[in-house]
Amino acid sequence: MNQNTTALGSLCAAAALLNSLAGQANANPLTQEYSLDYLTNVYQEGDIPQDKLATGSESRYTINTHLLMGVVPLTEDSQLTITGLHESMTGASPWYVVPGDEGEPAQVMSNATIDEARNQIDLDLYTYHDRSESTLSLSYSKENDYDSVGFGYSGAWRFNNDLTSINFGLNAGQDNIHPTQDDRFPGRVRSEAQNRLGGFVGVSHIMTKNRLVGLSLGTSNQVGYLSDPYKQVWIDGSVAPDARPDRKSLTSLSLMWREYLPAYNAALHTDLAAYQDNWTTTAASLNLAWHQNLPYNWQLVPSMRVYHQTEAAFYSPYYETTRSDGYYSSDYRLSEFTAFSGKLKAVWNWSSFQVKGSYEYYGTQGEHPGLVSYSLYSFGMGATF
Amino acid sequence: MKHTFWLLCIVCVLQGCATVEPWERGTMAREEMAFVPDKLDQNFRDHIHYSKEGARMVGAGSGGGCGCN
Repeated sequence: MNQNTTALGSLCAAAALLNSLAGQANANPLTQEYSLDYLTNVYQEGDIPQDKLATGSESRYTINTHLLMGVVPLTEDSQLTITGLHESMTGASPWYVVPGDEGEPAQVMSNATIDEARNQIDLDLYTYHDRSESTLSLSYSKENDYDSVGFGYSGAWRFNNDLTSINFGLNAGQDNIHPTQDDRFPGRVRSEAQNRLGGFVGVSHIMTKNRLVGLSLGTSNQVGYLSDPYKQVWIDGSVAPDARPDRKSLTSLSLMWREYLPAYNAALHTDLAAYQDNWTTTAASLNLAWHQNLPYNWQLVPSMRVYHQTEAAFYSPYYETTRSDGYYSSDYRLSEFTAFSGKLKAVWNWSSFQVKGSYEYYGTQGEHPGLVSYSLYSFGMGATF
Repeated sequence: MKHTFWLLCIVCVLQGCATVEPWERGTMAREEMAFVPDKLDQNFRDHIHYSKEGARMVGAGSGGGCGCN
């Protein structure tokens, strides 16, 4: 643990040094404007169908979230962004899966309604230079049984008459887990930690006066306790704790394409992403969004997303025999599934004020009985001054 | 066949490249042409996806938070 803390400290120091060396004062200063944005969300998961429920509550999570973001100019070349989040959660959580009468997987849910809250603060120090820009990020999140601290540094170097930009970054973090104890599950861990270290490199290019394209390749390593302390597995009639490998290495690739169509006064956003990790999970997603400008400063943004992932090597909804490697997880997030989502967002701008609202539905298709579907309602407002 | 497909894709993309003078980049300053036009909304959605799916994309920022259950 001490070695990890030292490594994180060294990384912070190195990034702070990089930030101070990243360039000279620029010829294209920031707007020097303050801004304040508020966003509230109601996230509501659909009930688990009765034919997929073994025991426990059918009502799943509802999360109410409030986010506040303020941008403060510091000098003519730098600004600080402060983001605060508070969310309250209530509902039942999936525990484990048992075989039904004909072997079909059935979900065991928690009985009691869980009430939790989470608070998070993020600080982003952005500096803009003649040929480059950089951001130092710090993040802290706190729940009653989980706290997480994160650090990030990202930079960009522009060249080719400012048409092309090389982007790069590092991020690291440490999570500490101290689960609520339950007499029904005596094997539950008491205090564990995990560390993560990652980085990315990418390129973005202005291809035409109406086309912007970006490509990014990232990798990350997670080490430590990577299991879910609240999840169990069914192994040949017995219930045991979720047990995953203590190391995970992942790679991600993303392509972003922005095309402005003057004839429609609209922009098309296309995002493609691919993912692979050493737990044998591979995933891909496609996100399309149409940003339609309308009269009277309105904008309408319909969007859709398709996501597919394969299952982790050690995942099974339940186990009829023990595994030689000792790894078990019946978490729906490690199963194979496809997700579809559709969203409609409306934005209205008036002078330096903005009001926005959106609705999104997310549904899943797969073998696991605990796969989630949700509705997300959002409302936000902001001002620049 | 597979290589031919990717070669065609690259040729198509490169055909779209052109020199864009600074005074022609007004469109690029539009909010809807940003990679992330609404950072607050995007970060929240990313957190949901990270919480409910197996993949975790690596990008800028510091991340954090459990997002369990």
